[in-house]
Amino acid sequence: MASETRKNWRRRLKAPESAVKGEIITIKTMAEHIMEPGVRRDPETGIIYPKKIIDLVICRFNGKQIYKTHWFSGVSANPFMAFKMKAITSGLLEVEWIDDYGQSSYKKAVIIVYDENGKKVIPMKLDKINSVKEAI
Amino acid sequence: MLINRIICFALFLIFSMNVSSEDTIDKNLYEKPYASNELKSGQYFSRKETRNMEIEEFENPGMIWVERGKELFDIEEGKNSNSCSSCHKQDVNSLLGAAATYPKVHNNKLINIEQKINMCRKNYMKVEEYKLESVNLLSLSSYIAYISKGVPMNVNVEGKAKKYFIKGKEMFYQRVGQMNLACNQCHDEIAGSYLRAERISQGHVNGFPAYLMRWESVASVHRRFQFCNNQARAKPLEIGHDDYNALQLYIAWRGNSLLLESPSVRR
Repeated sequence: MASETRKNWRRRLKAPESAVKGEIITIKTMAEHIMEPGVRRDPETGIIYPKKIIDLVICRFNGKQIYKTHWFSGVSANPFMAFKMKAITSGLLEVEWIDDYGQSSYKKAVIIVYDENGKKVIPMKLDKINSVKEAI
Repeated sequence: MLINRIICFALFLIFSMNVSSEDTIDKNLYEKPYASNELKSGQYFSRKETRNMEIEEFENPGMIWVERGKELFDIEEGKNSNSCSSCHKQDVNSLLGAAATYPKVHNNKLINIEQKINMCRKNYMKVEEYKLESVNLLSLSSYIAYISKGVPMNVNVEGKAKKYFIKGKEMFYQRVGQMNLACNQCHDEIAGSYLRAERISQGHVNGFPAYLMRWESVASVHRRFQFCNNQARAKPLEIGHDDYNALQLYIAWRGNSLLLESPSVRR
């Protein structure tokens, strides 16, 4: 059904809410997309459906790129993607999907990492901030 | 005298045959091809990878439609600003098990769940009906089927539904198309064996609306019937046709007591 137009394409992201430091966690994503390869024809009119695929997926953790893939026309519709990462600090995970028309959409999740004593591992060092304040 | 006797005997024979044939039709009408312990849903015949995809909710692409349906359920439309949930309150779970009883006779007409949704929109919400097989309608129907996931199928074929049931059974055993195939030839007689790379299932509809990988979207039972007819090189009927509803009624009854598992993933 290439002729159907949908305004809100759904993006799904599943990540564990909390993890222990050093644990390997699995992150699952799914994007709703037609992934039109650009070679199919309409059976009645014979017009080729224009190519429309997601060709770039970027995952960022605390603003830093951790994972990136280039996709081509062989990927199926509604692509499912999963990857593993090592939990070191707690932070914000963002996944961004960019299609070949330049439209981007993203989904984010917060992962909180605890160390062995049950304390939160925070991505910044508090000592430094305090020292800067004192200097001012 | 002899001729008289022969005629008498012949008449008796014809009469008795008539009676016996009517009796057997009435008995055979409710005879199921599979006993309840032999029933296997389509999940049993699919591959391990497909089955895992179906069982895990996040990996199941049909859940995208269910999520959209859940949102549409609460959206208020029309002059009176009604939504589905203003009548069917979500906490009361009034729709639990509703999907298992369709197709159903409503005002002397057999309708399936999609037509029922449209009827609700027209009569109570006073808004435009959804187009059959459109995304929004399939989202709503798969959400309603998802509410009663795990409820056994329980369609009624007695009373007013009996004439549709007979029609559906006729369609199931009727050979169609250039291939001259009837439904029962594959789904009753050789279920479980391979047709090229795919295993033939018993042909139940407890997983519909299902996510079909060949179309990469959720499809209703009627679209699947059209595909079946195309495979036998027969001319398919329209989606929402009364005969397809009758066929759906027979097939649903055939798999009564199977658990609903929509949105399932099929190939």
